[in-house]
Amino acid sequence: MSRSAAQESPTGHYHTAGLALLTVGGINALIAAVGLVQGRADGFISQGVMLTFALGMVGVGGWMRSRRADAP
Amino acid sequence: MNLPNLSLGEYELVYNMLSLAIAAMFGSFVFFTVAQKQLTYKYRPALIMSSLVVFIAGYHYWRIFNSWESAYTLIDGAYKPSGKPFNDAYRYVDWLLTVPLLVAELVAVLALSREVRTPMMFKLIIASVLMIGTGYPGEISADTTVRGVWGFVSTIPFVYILYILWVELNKATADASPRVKKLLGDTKLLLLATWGFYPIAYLMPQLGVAAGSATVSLQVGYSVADILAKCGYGFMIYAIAQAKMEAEGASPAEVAA
Repeated sequence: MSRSAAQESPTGHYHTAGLALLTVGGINALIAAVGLVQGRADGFISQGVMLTFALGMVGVGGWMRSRRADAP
Repeated sequence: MNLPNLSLGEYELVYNMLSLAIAAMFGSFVFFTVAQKQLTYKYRPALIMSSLVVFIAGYHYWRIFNSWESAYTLIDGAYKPSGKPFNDAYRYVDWLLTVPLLVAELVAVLALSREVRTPMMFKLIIASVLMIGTGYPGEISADTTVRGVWGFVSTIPFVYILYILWVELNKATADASPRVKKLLGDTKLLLLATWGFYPIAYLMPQLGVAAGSATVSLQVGYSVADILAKCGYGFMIYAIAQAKMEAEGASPAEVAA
């Protein structure tokens, strides 16, 4: 039986948000990495910057997912 | 982009708006970072996302501002193109990174049950990536037919996002307090109003608006829309979290934890 949001562990909200960041960061990192590998000269997209921010998001997402203990 | 000659007032209007956007984004970043501690544990992820959004946007505005400065030279009391390109396309990187987070943070702040929030977040993230991704081929094309086709394609995920926010999210928050419902409704309207500006800008070439005359209004419009869609939206997210805590009767000890 599923638990309601009120019964749920607060850490679960960090885990879901972390998953969202890992997903968004992962998609963007993939797009940027493909662009960099292909050496795409694109006036609109700065691949290096995109990759940096995407990896930053993956890092924050990973930190959120790694939280184990609930706040008191 | 073929840049037009600009009067002193036109150039400085864009210059000041870009400058304002930088200040707004980094100011909001500081606020969202500090304000996380005023929320209970489960609402903090939404504000962490808001912090990321405004920081990334602030960086891109700084790059656009520098590009604007170097793209013009003051000659005989008027600003003329210096020959260096003006690249405001940093906005696309910014949108690809931040738009999925904007919709995800709205779900995060509502602290819905896992069974509801996880699939909803994924649907919104995938739809927003598709919306930005399919708009891009049209944006870089000079062919108005190609722009129109990709514009139409990117509208499909946009409509789907609206469906999720107005239908599925309303069902999921049916038992929320009246204040939370009111704030949620206002936040969705803010999102719709600010996102509504981007397709208008996208369609300007089809509407026959000359690139030169559109430059100033586009840059000012994008800046205002971004300040509202990122900073203003983040403040609404913060207000929703506060209203939910109030409805739950959160104690100071829970906030300090």
